[in-house]
Amino acid sequence: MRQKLKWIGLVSLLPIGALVVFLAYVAYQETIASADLERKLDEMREAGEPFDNASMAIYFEKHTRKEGTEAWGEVLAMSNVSRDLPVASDLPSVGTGKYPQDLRVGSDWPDEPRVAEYLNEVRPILKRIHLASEFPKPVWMPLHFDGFGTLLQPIQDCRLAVGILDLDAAHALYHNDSERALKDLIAMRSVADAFDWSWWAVAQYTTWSIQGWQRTSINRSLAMDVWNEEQLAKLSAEVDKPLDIVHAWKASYVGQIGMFLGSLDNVVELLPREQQKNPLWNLPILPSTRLACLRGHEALKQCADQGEDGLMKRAKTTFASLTDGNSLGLTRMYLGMLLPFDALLAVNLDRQETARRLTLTSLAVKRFQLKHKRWPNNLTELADVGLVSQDWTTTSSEVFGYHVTEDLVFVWSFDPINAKSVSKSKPVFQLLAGDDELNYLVSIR
Amino acid sequence: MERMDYEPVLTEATMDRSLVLRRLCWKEYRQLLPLIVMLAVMGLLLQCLLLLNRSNDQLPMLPIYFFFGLPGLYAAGVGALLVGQEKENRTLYWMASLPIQKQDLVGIKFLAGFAGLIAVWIISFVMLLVTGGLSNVFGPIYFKDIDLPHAVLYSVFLLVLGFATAWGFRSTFVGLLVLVGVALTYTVGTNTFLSSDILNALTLIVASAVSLGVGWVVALQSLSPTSPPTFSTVNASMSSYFERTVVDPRAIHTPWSALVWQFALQNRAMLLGISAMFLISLSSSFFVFVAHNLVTNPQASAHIENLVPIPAILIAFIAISWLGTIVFQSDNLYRRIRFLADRGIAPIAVWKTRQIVPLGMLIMGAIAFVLAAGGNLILYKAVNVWPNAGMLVLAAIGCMWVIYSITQWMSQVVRSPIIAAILAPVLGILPFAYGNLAWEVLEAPIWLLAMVTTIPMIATYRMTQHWMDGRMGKRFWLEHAGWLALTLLIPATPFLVVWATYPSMPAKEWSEFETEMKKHASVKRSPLEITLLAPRSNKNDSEFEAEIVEPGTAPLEGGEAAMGASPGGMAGLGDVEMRIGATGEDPEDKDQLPLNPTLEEERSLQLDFIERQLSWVADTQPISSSYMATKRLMGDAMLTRLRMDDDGNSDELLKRYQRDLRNVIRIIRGVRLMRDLRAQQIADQYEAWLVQEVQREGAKFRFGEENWSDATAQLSDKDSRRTSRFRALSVDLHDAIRGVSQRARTRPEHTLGNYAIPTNKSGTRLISSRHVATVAWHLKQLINASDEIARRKAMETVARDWDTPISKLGQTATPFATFQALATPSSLWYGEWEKQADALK
Repeated sequence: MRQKLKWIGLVSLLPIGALVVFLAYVAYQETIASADLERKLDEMREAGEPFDNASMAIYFEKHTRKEGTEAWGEVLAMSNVSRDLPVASDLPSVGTGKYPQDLRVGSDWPDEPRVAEYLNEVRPILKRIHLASEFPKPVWMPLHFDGFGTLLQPIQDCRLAVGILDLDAAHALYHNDSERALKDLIAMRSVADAFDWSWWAVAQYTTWSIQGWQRTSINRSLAMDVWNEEQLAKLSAEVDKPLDIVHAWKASYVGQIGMFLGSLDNVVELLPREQQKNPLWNLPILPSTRLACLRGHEALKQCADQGEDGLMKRAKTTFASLTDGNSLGLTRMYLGMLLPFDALLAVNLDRQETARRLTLTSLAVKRFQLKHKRWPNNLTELADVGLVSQDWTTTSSEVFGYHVTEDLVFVWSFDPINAKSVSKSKPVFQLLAGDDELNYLVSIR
Repeated sequence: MERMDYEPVLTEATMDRSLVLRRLCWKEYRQLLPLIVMLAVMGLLLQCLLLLNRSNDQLPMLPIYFFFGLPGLYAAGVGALLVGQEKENRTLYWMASLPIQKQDLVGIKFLAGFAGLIAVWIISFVMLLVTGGLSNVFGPIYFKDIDLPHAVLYSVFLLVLGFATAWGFRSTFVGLLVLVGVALTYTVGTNTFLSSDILNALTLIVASAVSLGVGWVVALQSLSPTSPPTFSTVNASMSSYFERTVVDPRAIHTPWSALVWQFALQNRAMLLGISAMFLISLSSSFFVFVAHNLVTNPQASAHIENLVPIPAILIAFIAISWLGTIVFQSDNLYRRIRFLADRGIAPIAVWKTRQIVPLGMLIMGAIAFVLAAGGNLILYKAVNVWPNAGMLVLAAIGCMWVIYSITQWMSQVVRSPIIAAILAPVLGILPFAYGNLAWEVLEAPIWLLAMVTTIPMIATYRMTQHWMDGRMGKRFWLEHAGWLALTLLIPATPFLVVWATYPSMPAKEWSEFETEMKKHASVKRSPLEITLLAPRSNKNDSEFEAEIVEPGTAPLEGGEAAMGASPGGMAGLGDVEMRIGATGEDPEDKDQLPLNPTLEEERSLQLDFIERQLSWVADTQPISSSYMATKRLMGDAMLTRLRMDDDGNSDELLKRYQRDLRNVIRIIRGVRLMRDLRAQQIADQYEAWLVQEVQREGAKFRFGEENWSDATAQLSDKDSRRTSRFRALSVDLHDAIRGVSQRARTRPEHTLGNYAIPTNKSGTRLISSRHVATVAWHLKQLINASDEIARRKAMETVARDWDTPISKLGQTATPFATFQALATPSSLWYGEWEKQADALK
């Protein structure tokens, strides 16, 4: 009887004991996590990597140059102003207008007088872009760091400057002024380089977007038959460097982690206002959560350690394991808020590289034609102008499509939105590639 | 015969039935009154607490919940009170022995309960009128889905069912458990299978009638004479198990284990019932989620999903509140605690042994909840769509603890187990209402709120001896009141400290503000806002269309470029006054413009239009900030100046530049006269731009004599700038204190001239006026600072007020740079640009 009574007492105490043990375990784990986190932060501090807003500002200053700040600041301010010029919104590149489908030297371009007037107006800006391009890059700009709340207005405004350059290049080609066009196209690259703050994924997107813009302009120009061999070589030099995916991937995580850690203390400010007072979001973030978030980012960063091959797949698996439904809790919650960037990054890197190879191949086709006075029979002949087999394939090693018609040559990869591989069937060759298709279908004259 | 004189008193035939009925009514009234009063008081208290919290989004619906909730609670508890309490006190069987008809006894109880229900509905309705009126509940939105007849019928059903179970079961708690079970089964069943309102109402009427009939028969049976009990150990039924004596022979050897054993035995029915409720709550939600996952039809799936939360949460809520209730109430029943008190059992031992079993159950319930919630989320694959599930589970466990803590406190204070059982669910809500108020309004830190939840445990621990001895005198109540006061006070402490110590603006300063306010606050503020004609494109050749863009939603690239939200909602010039204005229709120009105008034609038209608008106001009148128009003018001037830098000063370009400048200077002058801080900041930015232009090489020549003299006069007039800033500060303070500003009305934070003042001290929201006035006073000190030292000191104070580094004050304005974060109205005051402007004299 006495034994039984003791047993009842024990059973009653068991849950409370379990709770105490659990709390002690949690406290122990947090202490260890706190020490690990400190160690990690020390390592980052020693390596000069950013881990909060203050160190992000220092890192930014250390990896940029201030010589061109004033010049680029003026370019950005003026570009911002230029968008308000009365006709700007109707024009291509700087507004919502479109180029004529078959833009050639002296062809019918109803908007040309307005374009010319606009370009005359913004000529001082073009001049200052070319001047600013001479300064060392990337350029430092005054930014107020606030984690993911940091306003990166310069990288948005620099696109306005690129738009002006693109319009000027198209206008120059229309008037057969290929030197001016070449200068503009090269300057587009300079703008991308000036704001190539590759340690932030969002800035990396902008840089790639400008590079993509430059490639689209080059692709468009190939249908106009205006370039000579020397100019084509210069243009090829603009796109002949393969995208260092491993470097880009890793670089983006340096700033990404800094921004993430900078955001954790005021993560509430990133939420919609009605959720900001929710007590759940206002609980202090435990060291284990910070550490797990940090390790989550590091795991994604390390996906690139094994090289470019299979990076997408590894990133996808890692990303899924970090945001999997089976992992409950705070870590998943905070990572879930901020990680979608990374999935996009993986897809974008691949697409960029394929698009770059397509432009390089298209330029090579034209160079071959100028050199041999005939179009290549197939893409393998491009080895004659210095290309290697990898250059005329997609990142998944599919050979680009190639077709010669009476007056046009077509090179194509695939529309990344609607297809996953290069189409074996031929595109609608009666038409030139439109503005929306230029990143995967190039028409050459 | 003498004996016969006394007989009529004792016989039914001669008893005055109406007197009996009146006395019975009086008795029932006396029994009911405390319950009705307590429910009304609790309801009112809850509503007041929630009404005080103005930032609660759910506020408008709360009076409606209470409107239905109070009669429901009353209906569920009245049977237990009128019948159960009499059983407990054994007065029921005494009354049955009196010469009163059994039907009268039963009927009066039911009628009294029914009359009470009507009274509670009326009280609820009056409460709804008062509190609902205060929270604007009487809009069509909130009342459209309310089915009042169904609610009334349901309360009647609960009432008769409550009477039936109270008559049918010897233990009141068991009766209540059965009532909850039957009522919820009925609710879930009818909600699942009946879709028509009429069918639902008919079912309720039938169910009520059946309950009434069953209750009536059971009541009469229970009041009938019964045969003496026979004690047999051969066929022990479940009911005999529940009614076995609590003095178990096994529980007498070791005090601690024995006390635990005794508690478990005397509450066996309740503990089993509560465990069953936990299981039902958890498994119902679990299985419904599984079913939801398996059902592919979206409509059926949604229907299943809707079944889960409310009954499951309600059952768990009632189970936990009753778990707290039995901690001390089971010893109040039949005054069992006297047995322990008389034998000198230590209060510590009693307290611990009363808590250990329910607390253990609560922890096991929490563990089961965590497992079930995890299982649900995995099965339901809901984790991805519900990322803060882990936090919600944690919060739910916290809620379980709070309900238990408060109800165990109540169980020591309230003497009647039945009243306690009825009040427990209402009391379970009270801490959340107060917690919500403390969190939202008093801005109590969460750790303080968490800490406070342990006070009820301390209170019962401290008062166990008094409770055991039945010493419920002044000291007992005062000490409990003291603990209650502490519970309420602790979360309010940070606010009270702020309230007591927060500085106020000195009277002299205030009088200066008042004088300025009187001069300007009453002036009607509808200044001219320069509008800009939208470009007339060949795609859209409709009228002179002007866009109307709300502040903050204008075509601001900053928002797109941001990695996230703009901190504090302030993004510099781009985020300020962005309205292009109302339709800028100008019939004169409309006919002059060709369909596809050239850039030069559009520019000329726009400038003409701006100049025409400027001619409508005198030089001394304010002009609204007109961002787009000014940006257009400044941009034009900048481009022209660059062209002159590149190509030389041609007459055409000079004229164009001077025309732009003339208009810009005129607008700057007008904007500076505006009576709000936001406009003053915009004027600062415009002036900073002008300073840059003035300082360029050859500027004097390019400006032209008139522009040069106007620009330098405008820029160097620091007294005027100071006066304008103080005037704007006064008017904005006036608006902020009176809540005139739209933002102040719609947002709980305090603002000054549409600048959100950070609440870096908790509790400052309640002293909003004082806080805003103090911030304004500090800004005034900065305006009036006469030398660098005073200015630096004032800047430090302002930086603290606005929770911003001092480096963010005294900035140099960057025209059109939307990345320039301007968090305070004084961000540009005394920046380098202003020093250069002052020096222009």
